Amino acid sequence: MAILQRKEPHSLISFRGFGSVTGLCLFILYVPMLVLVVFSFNANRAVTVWGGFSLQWYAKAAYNGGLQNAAWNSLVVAVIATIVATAIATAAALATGRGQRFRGSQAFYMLVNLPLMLPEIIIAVGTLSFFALLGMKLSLLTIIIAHTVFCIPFAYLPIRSRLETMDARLEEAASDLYASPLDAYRHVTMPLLMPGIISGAMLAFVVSLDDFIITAMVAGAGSGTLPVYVYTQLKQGVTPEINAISTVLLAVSIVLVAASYFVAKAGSKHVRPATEQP
Amino acid sequence: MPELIPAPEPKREKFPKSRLLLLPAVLVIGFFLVLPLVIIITYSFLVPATFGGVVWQFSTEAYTQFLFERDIFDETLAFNAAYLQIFLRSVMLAVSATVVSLIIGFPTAYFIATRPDRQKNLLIFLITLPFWTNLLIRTFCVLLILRDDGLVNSIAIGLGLYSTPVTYLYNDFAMGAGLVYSYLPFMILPLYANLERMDRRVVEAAYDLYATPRRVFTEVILPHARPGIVAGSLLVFIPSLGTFLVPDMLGGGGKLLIGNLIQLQFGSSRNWPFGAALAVILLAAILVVLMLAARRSRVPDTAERR
Amino acid sequence: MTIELKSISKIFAGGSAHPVLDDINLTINDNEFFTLLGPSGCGKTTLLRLIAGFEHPTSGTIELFGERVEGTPPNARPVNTVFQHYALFPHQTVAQNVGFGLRMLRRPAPEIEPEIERMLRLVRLEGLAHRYPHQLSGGQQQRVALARALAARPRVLLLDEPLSALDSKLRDEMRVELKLLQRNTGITFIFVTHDQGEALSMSDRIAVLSEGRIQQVGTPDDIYERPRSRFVAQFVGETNVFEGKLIRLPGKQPEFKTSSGALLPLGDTPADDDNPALAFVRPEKLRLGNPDDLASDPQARLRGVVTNKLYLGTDTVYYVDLEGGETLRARIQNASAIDNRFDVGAAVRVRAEEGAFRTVGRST
Repeated sequence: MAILQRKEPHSLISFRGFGSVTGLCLFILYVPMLVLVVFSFNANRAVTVWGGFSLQWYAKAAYNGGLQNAAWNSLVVAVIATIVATAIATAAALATGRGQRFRGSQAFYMLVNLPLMLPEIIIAVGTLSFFALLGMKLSLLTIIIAHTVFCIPFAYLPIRSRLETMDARLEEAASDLYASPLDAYRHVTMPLLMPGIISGAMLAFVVSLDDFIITAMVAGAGSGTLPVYVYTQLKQGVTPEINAISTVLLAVSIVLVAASYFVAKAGSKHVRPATEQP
Repeated sequence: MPELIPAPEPKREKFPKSRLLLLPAVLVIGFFLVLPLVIIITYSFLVPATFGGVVWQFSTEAYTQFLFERDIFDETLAFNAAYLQIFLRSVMLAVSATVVSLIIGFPTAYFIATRPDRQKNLLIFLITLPFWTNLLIRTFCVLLILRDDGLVNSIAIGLGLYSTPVTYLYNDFAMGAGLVYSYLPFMILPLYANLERMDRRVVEAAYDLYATPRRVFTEVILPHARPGIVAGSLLVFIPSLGTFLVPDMLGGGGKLLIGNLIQLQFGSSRNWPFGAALAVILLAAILVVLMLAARRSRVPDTAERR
Repeated sequence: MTIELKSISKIFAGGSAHPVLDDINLTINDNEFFTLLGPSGCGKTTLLRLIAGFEHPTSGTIELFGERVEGTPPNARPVNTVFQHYALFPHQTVAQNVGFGLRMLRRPAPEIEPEIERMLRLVRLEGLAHRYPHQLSGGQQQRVALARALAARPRVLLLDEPLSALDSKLRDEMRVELKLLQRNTGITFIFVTHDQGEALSMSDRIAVLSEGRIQQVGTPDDIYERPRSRFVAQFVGETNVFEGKLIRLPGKQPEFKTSSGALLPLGDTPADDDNPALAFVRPEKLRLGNPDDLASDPQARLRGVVTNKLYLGTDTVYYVDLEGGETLRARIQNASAIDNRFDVGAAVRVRAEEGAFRTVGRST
């Protein structure tokens, strides 16, 4: 955190104390997670008393049948929801292009972002009522449908922003150089869009993996995902095993988000022309 | 010399066929999200079935129930503030969480936005990361450190501040802390995006024209940041108002907020129409806030846009 | 004849009702270096995009080598473009960029390889075939863009302000190179620029555009020496402009009387302008002299006071306030130290070469 303390007395733009607040902010955000991670390696059964390093809770979690089932459900749901949502989002991004206005464009952008604007609890009870009305039995399928819906905006936004930073003239250049529309799409648009698609897919995956309240509402018996499992266990009391499972879940999200970030970043040097516009 | 005024953006010919690609998104979200909202509104005007679900019979009972209690014997209505109180407590907590997030988030966003590029990217990445991690687990983390034998008490007792653990959990403080912890990144990200675009020279110009740091802040930086403040506040306020996990885990179940009150109606209370009515009330409250924000965030200056 | 544009108009849907291009008629010949010159927003880039096929005219016809092409997509036109910011494919190497057109034309690979090498030699980038665009300097990117556009041997090369992103030194070098390249390849170049220096130095012919209309088409010499409108006179090069009217007295050379009463000597009777209302003179066609020395010179009737001077190295620009009130700029070459001798405040006579004052109508 050395960068937070570095003083630049001559910089007019900075304000005194803002660096300390930033430090406090990072402290607030990370200390609770750090506590969880540390205690997941605790040999002691007591959750918040340190008793030495141990991996026993991870081992115990690995052989837990209920947990394995939940993990499998999580994986199935996240993979399917991610693939479907990313495909839908890519199509939508290609259609909306670089944010041009068209008839109903405002309405469309609102619709796509609707899952982000609504409190989850409303989506949860709405989706539950919907399935009840249709007479659909709650199962993995209902979870997958619900997840696909709220994954769409998360996949859409990185793809769209990738498309926006892409030079519109690249496609023109391709067609100028005898590429048919299909060729231009295959050799220029798609390769350049790929980092955005991958990044969007990873975010969709993480969001699906992390969701609790909507999943809990539309999950049938035996179809609970990892967060639902963790919640149920938590209601029966905090155990070190829960710490271990939670740590793994945290780690998975962090690794995926970091990867998504670096994919998007590695791709971005390919997007902007090296010569900046005047 | 480069052209000072960019040539008009080359407009492209329209290919209406490509709009067909919007269809999957419109259908999926329309069918599985907009339709459910319509159903919720419909359900709020129906009668609860005994074991969950609804009976198709029109009734405004669900909304009446929000404010009044029906006497079991003579069916008379008496004002009952219990649900209204839950609603108001939810609003108060969401407002508090938003204000605290702004107080912590603004200096943070500003500080990060004014760092050199490499530091900027690292710091904003660190802020973004918790945003993507599991909310349930992060709420659980707050539980861990606020417990009677948690980190806060251990440290305070270790330092000799007090000798018996203080109860931090299961009250409004715990819920507020949980909300700030959960949604702080939502405040920082839009603020950062806004402040990052601010032209530093504007600040320098203000100093050059004899402004004090305080006046630079209130008359140059704050007005510029207004859209970011509005966006960040909305992004904290809306999920805070509808939160389920925070009251459920940190409020200890005794302290209800509207989020878990709704969940309760669809769960153990088996009163779907009342739950649906509460969801509609929550939705309406959010709509009002959004409309107010849309009016406020309309800023006169659009000149500075890179 | 390479390109024939007939009554081309372009109005953008959703844009203002004002046409971006208004009744453009233009013929561009084989092997010509033709420049579209105008300020930003004059429609020159749009005209280029119509020829390339990225846009379609609202009305009018475009003929390429005798064939109507208004509906033909860009990939079916024997025309290639060097884009303003090059639009190099960022995910492809230099070699892949250069070979793109040939690959799209489905040429066999053994044919493409030597062609890429030939093009890279032509633009002197042999060693950089496997670099990516972001690893190149602006000048190198510019050459890649050229090589890419030339690789498929187009019959017409369109260049959209290709030098605007380069620094001024490199820009001057590229002017020479582009001109040579055009002469050596024999391809018709259509060059878009807002820089009159570029236009004058490279072109065989120039079309000056303003507000969607062609103001004048001609050789660089025509455009500079014999502009036919106030716009062309002022946009291309520096100009002193006077308002007033033409005075013809029988048996005397016509003169121009400025609104402040000064009389300007005109060379020949302006032939193509029956009622000129503006006279102009290029600053470099003026000389300054001591009022007494030039008193009897019929070409030096204007008197004034030096109010400002800008020393530019090769030249000095004097600002002279004339007796009538107009301000005049005179650009004097600093051939010897003696030329740079009038100080601010000095009274001077302004001498114009014979025929230096020219006239155009007011409406234009």
